[in-house]
Amino acid sequence: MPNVDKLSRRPMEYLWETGVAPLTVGTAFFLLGTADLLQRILPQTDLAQQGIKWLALCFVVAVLWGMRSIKDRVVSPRGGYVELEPSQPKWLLWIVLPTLLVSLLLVYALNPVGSPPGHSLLDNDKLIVPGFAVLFGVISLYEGQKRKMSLLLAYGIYLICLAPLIWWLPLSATERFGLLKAGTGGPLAVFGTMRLRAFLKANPKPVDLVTRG
Amino acid sequence: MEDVDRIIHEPARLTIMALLSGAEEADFIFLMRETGLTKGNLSSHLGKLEDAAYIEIEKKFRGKIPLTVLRITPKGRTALRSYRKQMNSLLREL
Repeated sequence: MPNVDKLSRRPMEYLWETGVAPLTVGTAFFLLGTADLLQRILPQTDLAQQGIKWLALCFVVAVLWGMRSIKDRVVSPRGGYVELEPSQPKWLLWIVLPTLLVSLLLVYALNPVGSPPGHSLLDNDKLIVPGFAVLFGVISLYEGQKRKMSLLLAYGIYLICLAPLIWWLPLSATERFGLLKAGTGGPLAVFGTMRLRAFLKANPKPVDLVTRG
Repeated sequence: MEDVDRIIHEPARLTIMALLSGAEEADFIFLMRETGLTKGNLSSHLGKLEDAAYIEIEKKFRGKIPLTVLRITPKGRTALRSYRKQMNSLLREL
């Protein structure tokens, strides 16, 4: 008898296997993070500081458009076309809500009510961003262990190792968030590229499409 | 056992329904790849599922390439859910 639960997860797994999803998410995060980090070396004028943010957003839109095009023209003819449901209530319930809850608890724990200004841990913002890195790392480790995915486990360990670096470097809050975004997105984009390459190698263009076009 | 939905009970059709339940829509190539069925075999099973109104089949073009898009209907989702419930209770009774 077919395993219905396992099969119903296949469309989502397929999109990750093709590499398009991690490549898109990773590149978007990397671009946004890099823009935050570049603000440090750019002139401290409104034009330069805002311009780099808008430029990064434009690049993200271009990446989204480009990935859509790759999915339609390159991936779908080889492995098939799949569109996931717009909302995944289960996913929201089990991943996003606990993440938000833990983040809120973290913020409250680091910034106790009534603490004098300059004395709470939140005021120097050094621990918040590494805290997020640890949180994402723990989620990746949990999911990797649950799904028996060694790469996800390695990603979780990497994120936990990234946390002390974010804490140690002399950066502003924005730059720390930038480093977190670029640090999480970069490896994801590389992983996506490798996956896409492997997928294209394993699934050559169908003959009828080659002759037609 | 007589009440079991025979349309879904067939392993290939159950596989198709389970795959489609995890997506908003998928195409023929994806189903062929995932089920390992031949074109003709898959078409025949899809026809039966469409006749029972468990899935919708839409034929369209992406550029010059024909695309057969398949979607599970609300009726199909309900049928899959009740089939699973039924099978679970049957297995418990055994």
